Amino acid sequence: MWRKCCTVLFVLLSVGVVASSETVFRTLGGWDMPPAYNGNPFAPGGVGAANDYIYGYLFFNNVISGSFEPWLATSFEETPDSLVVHLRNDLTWEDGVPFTSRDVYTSFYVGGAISTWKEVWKYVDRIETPDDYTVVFHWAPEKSILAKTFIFDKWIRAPYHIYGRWLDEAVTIVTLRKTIWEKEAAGEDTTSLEAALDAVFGPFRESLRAYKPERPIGVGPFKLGKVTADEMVLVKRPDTPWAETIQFDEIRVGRFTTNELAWAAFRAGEVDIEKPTTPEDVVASLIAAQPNLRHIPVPDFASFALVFNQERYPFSEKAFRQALAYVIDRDKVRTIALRYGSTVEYPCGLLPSSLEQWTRPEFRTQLNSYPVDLAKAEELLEGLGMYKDSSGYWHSPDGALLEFEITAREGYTDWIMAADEIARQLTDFGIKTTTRIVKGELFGPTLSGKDYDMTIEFGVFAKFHPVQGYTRLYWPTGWIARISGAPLQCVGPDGEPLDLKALTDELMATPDKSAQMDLIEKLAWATNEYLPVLEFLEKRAQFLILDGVRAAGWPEYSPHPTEPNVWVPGPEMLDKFGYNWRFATVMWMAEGTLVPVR
Amino acid sequence: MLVQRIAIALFTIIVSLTIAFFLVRSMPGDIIYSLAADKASSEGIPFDVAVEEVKGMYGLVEDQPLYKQYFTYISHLCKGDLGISVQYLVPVSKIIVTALPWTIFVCSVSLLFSFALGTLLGMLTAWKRRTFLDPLVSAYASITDATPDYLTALVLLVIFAVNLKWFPLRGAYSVDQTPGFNLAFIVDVLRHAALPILAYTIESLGGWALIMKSNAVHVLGEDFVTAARARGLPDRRIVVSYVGRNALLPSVTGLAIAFGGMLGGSALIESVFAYPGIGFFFAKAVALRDYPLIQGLLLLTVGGIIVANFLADILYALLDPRVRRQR
Repeated sequence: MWRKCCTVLFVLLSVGVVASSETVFRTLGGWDMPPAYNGNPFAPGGVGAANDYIYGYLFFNNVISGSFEPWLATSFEETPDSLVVHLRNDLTWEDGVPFTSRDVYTSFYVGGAISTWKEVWKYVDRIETPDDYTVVFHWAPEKSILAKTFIFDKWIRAPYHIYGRWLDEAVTIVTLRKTIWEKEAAGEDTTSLEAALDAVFGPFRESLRAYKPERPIGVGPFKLGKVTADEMVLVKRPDTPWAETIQFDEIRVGRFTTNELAWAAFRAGEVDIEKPTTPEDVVASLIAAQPNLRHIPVPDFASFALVFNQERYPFSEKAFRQALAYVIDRDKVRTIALRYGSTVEYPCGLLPSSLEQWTRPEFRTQLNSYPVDLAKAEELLEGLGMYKDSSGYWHSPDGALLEFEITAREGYTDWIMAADEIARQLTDFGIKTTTRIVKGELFGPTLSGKDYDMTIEFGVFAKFHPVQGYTRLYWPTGWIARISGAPLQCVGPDGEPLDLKALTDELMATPDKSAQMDLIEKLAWATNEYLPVLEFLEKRAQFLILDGVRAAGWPEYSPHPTEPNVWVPGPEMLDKFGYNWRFATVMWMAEGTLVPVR
Repeated sequence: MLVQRIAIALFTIIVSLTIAFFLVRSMPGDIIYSLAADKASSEGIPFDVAVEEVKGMYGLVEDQPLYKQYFTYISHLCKGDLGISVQYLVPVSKIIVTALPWTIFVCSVSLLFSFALGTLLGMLTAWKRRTFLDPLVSAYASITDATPDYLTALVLLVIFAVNLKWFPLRGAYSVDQTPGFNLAFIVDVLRHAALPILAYTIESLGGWALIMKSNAVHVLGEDFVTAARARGLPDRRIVVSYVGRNALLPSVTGLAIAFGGMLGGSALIESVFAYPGIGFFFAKAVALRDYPLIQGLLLLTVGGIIVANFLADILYALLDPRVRRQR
């Protein structure tokens, strides 16, 4: 009897689940589990990984080519005073209500009220909707070359017929904030305005957050079918203009918990695309198990850097920072910390993936690549009056042993590995250095309180334009500027004074590309010379694509000429993966190129 | 006597919660930075923009004095109200009721399996301690103790879910199933629970076996066992009634504590197998400083341990007549 029971149980447990459909696209993602999950994109627990499949942008930003691809809108016109966007007139929200300009208006005001969206609202004065399918963004006096990009970067996800009830308060909040920013810039007192803002914002936020529909209402080609703690099912909507070309009936998103689980899912052939950070040997093992798996590293538009606390001696000395740059083997650090990243050849605030696009060849010859040169480093340290003792350790001119820490954030294993390797290299050179790992929630206060010597941090983020990186370095509110205490003025190559904040401000407002390059070169030179940070690698997202098993028709890619198990993305993939890979897959499905394998 | 024990248990719960209340609120750190750094990284937006956005989305600050918050909390607790999660705006009790059954199901089955098997194995090892079984069990316990539990879980995952495809990779049940008391759903739940239970059992049964072996070896040296042997009692009876029953007593306390502790969730089961449970909400609550949720979950864990100990005391008395007589 006991044996029979065991046999029956084993058979029951061993029965495989029959696939529900052949036209299913599978990926991984994150969301808050029920009962926290809800359909309000403006509330914690809202929407999660469904976002990219059910909502849409006005235009898709192709980050490398700099072009904009129509999605919810068809075209746009620019005038000196405004941006006029023409919307598609054949779309409806999931509940059947037509998609109109009021929805765009509501999305920008409600989204801007709850999440600030300073990068949009600082440069947009107001929005008008002259008809159902036209939206006019009127520019504010302060200009930004990225305003249009950031407008197109925002999700349209607040249908007026649902979120219109919060619109009046949202308009008030956005208007008050804009007034505060203007007065702050003019150095005026904003206390009473801030009190007025708080009085409106608190109830607005609580009321908006309290709205918890079971499922979101989107305007995109898919809708949320079902969500559990572990899996989310997006179902193709039959009533969109994309329905004819999209051949996938469902997108299934498994919950992403750990890289290891993602690797197991790829090994089992259960995922079509994701980008888990994956070591070289695991990549090889996965490809051996799944010959159709492609490993495609794509620039992530962010760098890892060593930031110096310039309020502490000797990091306040330019020569000392340069000496460290000559000691640290950045390529070795990259190999250990993030094998598939790319080494920063010229640390200058520009990502390797955009250096050639934004600087002239003759300028690049002026940049210092800081090759490993220990003799040069020693010369610089001796120039500061420092000396080496008989045991090989360096001392400051007053005899103190040079002994430092590099902080790194707990849980960021690539940062910790980079910190360990840099510490090892500096110690080998004679500057005693150790790694200090700081808990995530303490990391920010540690840096902003300047309680560190050197730290690993993101250097620059510059997805759309180099100015994004320089605002981080040279605007007083920029994170690196705040934690490094680096001066925002310096002396230029010909002895002229350089105001780095003013240069960044000017770059932000200069539309002409040649003039932008002039400004970028000045900022790049200053960054390369003064090293407020030492960038050592540019992140690359490691895309794993299971090509030809469930889905086929991915844009062009080719095997890397020298590196095994690496494929190189073609221009289309590079352009779109660099911006939003989830949405890119939806676009390729809508174009009819990414299709199920039947 | 029972009333006194209940009173002590309640007092312990209140003291624990009071300490926890003030401890969690004095945790250092800046959550806004932490969330903004993640947001800036994942969305590629400037850090300062991410900070503003996070403040807008999560910027709830308790403006009441701490002592007032404490008395409000205790008074609500007395009415059975665990409060509302400040981040999710969902009653804490609803979150617990949704997530806890999965944790209880998979953790308790795992715990019972590992305890039963481990205890049996420990007993056998002690009884046959000069045979191959003794070094074998010791080696097994050492290996599983030294091996990170997630590694064991991953090996099982690769063998049984990836290569053999006998079991699903993750989750508690397939999204295609309709939850309810139907055979298809039950089978699906069992299939999903099989690997987490197996991983947990493999990892922890060695520990139970060693504890039991140690206890049993000690009991085997007692006079009453020698007397039982001299009386010619069968081995089976000596092992079960004389040695087993006495050697089991210390393990019962361990089991009670483990039962209470499981209510905090299992990192192994929830992360490697993406199994839904209370641990996900615990981690989120701590990360977001969602005090009502942290308090609610702590109450669950503390209460679980105290209740389990209370039950262990009762079980102790049932297993050991000496304890019964003392009372």
